[in-house]
Amino acid sequence: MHLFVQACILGLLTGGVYALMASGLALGFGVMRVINVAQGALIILGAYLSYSLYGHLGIDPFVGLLILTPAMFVLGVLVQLAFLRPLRDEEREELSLLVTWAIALGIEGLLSVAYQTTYRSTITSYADQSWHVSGYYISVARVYAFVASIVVLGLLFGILQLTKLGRGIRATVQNPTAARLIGIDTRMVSAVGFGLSVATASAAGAVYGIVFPFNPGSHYDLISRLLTIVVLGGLGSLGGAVIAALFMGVGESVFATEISPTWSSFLFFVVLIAVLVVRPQGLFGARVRGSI
Amino acid sequence: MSALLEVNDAYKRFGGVVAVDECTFAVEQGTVTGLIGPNGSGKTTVFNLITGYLPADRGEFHFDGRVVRKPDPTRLARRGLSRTFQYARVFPNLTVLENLALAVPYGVLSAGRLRISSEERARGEELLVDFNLTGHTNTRAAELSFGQRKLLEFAATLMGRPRLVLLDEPAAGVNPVLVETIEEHIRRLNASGLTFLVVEHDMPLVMRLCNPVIVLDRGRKIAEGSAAEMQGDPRVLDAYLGN
Amino acid sequence: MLIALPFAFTAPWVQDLFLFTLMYAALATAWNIIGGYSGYISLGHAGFFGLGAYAMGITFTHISIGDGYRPFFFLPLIGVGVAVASVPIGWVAFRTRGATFAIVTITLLFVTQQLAFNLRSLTGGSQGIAIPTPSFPVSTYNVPFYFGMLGVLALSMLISWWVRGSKLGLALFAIRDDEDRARGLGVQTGFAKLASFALSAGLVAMAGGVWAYYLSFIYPQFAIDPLVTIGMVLMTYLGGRGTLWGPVLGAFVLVPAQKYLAYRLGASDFYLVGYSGVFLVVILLMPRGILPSLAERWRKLGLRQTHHDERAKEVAAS
Repeated sequence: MHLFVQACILGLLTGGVYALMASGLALGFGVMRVINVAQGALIILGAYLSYSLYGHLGIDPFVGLLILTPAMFVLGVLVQLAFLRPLRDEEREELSLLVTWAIALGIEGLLSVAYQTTYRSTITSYADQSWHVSGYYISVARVYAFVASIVVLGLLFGILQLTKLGRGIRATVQNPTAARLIGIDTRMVSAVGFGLSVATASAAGAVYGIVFPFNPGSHYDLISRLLTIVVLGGLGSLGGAVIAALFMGVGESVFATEISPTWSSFLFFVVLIAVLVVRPQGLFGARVRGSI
Repeated sequence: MSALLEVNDAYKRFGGVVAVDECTFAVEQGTVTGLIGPNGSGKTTVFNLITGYLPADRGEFHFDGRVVRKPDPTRLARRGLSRTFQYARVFPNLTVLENLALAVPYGVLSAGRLRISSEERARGEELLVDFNLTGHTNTRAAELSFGQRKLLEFAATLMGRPRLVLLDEPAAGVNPVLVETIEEHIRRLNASGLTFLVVEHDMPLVMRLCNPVIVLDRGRKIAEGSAAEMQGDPRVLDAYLGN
Repeated sequence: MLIALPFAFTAPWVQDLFLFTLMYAALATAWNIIGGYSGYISLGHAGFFGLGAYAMGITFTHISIGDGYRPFFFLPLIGVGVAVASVPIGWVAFRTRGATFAIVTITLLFVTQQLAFNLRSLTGGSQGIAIPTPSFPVSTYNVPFYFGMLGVLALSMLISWWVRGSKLGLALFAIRDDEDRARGLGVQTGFAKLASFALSAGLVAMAGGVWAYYLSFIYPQFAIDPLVTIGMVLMTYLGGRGTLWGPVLGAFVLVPAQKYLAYRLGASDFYLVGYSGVFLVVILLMPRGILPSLAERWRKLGLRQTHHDERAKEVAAS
């Protein structure tokens, strides 16, 4: 039982990080109706940048977040303007898939050249410490990661719910035509929305890098897991993604502890298949044909 | 006499909005039935529910005397129910003839046969003559004008020899001459036994062409009768003018 | 002419180049059947390549199918086997569309790789599988493999050509344009997608089988490698997706270029950056690929010529 609870705690903390990573993907889909294949690569990019900031300049990753996130936001907006907006409408979906994939590969390539393919981890001074709370070990780094994730997620929700920009984004998500009719510049909203999802990704990456080892090729594994989470939560539902993330985090951890660590990453795959077969719209998604 | 199409208590909700609310009506064989109502009354949604493009939350559909469980566009098309869309959906990268040939159902085993069989070509060319599109047999659909696309889309729905055709705003965005042409086609086909359910905003067209006319407002049927009756019905006027 | 090539150039590195060019031409052509014709972009097709390679390897270790030319005759069996196996995989994947579908296929690729690493008793894990080298005469050692790959390419092109001219092809092109409308017209979209997926998977697997036999060792990270998918997709788009010869053209351009760069710059991860760059250029500037863009130019020239002629006639008549 003790082991089970320990696994749950670990899973919950990991789930928080997953939630932050998945939220960027869900947001990107909501705003642009396109699943950004490069999301995993952007997270890894964030991890590497944070790693370098720490390694070369001694900036703690959580502090580095404050620098990284706005910078990546700008990058995201630029990428959207340069590569995604110019695509002709008729084949926009297919082409933006390929463009984002090409971007993912480009990022992987550049990172491989810059950092080689050895696994890295942002190992801070508190990386090995854990708190001992009523018989359970709780890793300090993971708690910080969890808290940071919640904070950034909270900020994201805050922006979406409270600011005028956020309202514009939500309106565009619900009904692009209507949004345009009431004067929302949907093109700007798309660029900003994409920028936000990239910024979220980089923040997630910084956090991810503290808790997990990574190398340039990790983005494939990541995007697969994130897709499972977003599909489970239901495409188009940001809240659903968060809940699904926590669920998968706990599930993976418990599975690894009780059954088998080697096959625990398979769990994501199994869940993905199960969701697609049984209930493709996920837990909270809208059931519309052809929308997935 | 049981109707060709029956919609019973259809219900569809999108988040906080109930688009279709206990909607019940029937389409009798051999008619050109009109479906009208103010914007947002759920007409296109009902089309989508009937044809299976959207799953209904509740409700029952009967087509051709049989219950339709879980409507599915492909199966319904094969059973004789086809539809058009508001913005003239054709396959832009295929030629006009290919657009038509595609609309003839074939069995899985004949997937390997020639793209366009001789029967399909013959039937397609027949339709092209009817619709006055013969010069464009091998033109890519993307190069047609909007009006021509509407005609092509209409013709495609006829390839499979359907029993019932759902027309979603056939006159929308089209010049008056073409509206007349389309109206003539509908009359001609109706005379040879084809049933139509037409959603339209062009009131004069509805008055001339449709009998009966069903009126929807906020997702439910509020009136039904001949065109003339509907014109004078206070409930209908209310719905359109709002209160 | 292609048949004479391996005899004309006997240097092994040239034959190797030809072999890989043919291989990617076959892979791209096969990928085009699902990706180009139907618009469902499978980014995990390398998984089938790996399955074919491992199928070849596993049959060698568990059943001795003999030496020399016999394994080549085993290829069709591998092709059919993988094609059949791909049906349930495809069925699940086709519950999604667009980018979601693409990522599901990526997931499948990685799961296949994980399985290859973990099912040690079957696949040898990270040690891989070694295939005994056949006893072909040294001077013409590469030739049988060359012809094996040529055979797979010929088969791929044949099937691709046949699909295009058939009802299946018509359905696929319609799906690409507007899948929901196709369904509304009664087209059996589910079957069309699965059939093209299976055909494509089987062909890719056969190429994998020849590759495995040629290299005579199979490691999971090389047999099931996203770089293979990237190659397939990029070459198809470069040459012209949806066309018959486009993928072949793409392969004939890119494989030699890539081998040359590898020779000059040394193998490095610049590959990826290079691929990514070429991809972005193609998509942003020439999304239809070389062949269709050329055809378009040709047509416009033709139109301008008739325009020109007509104007000339007008002027002459006045």
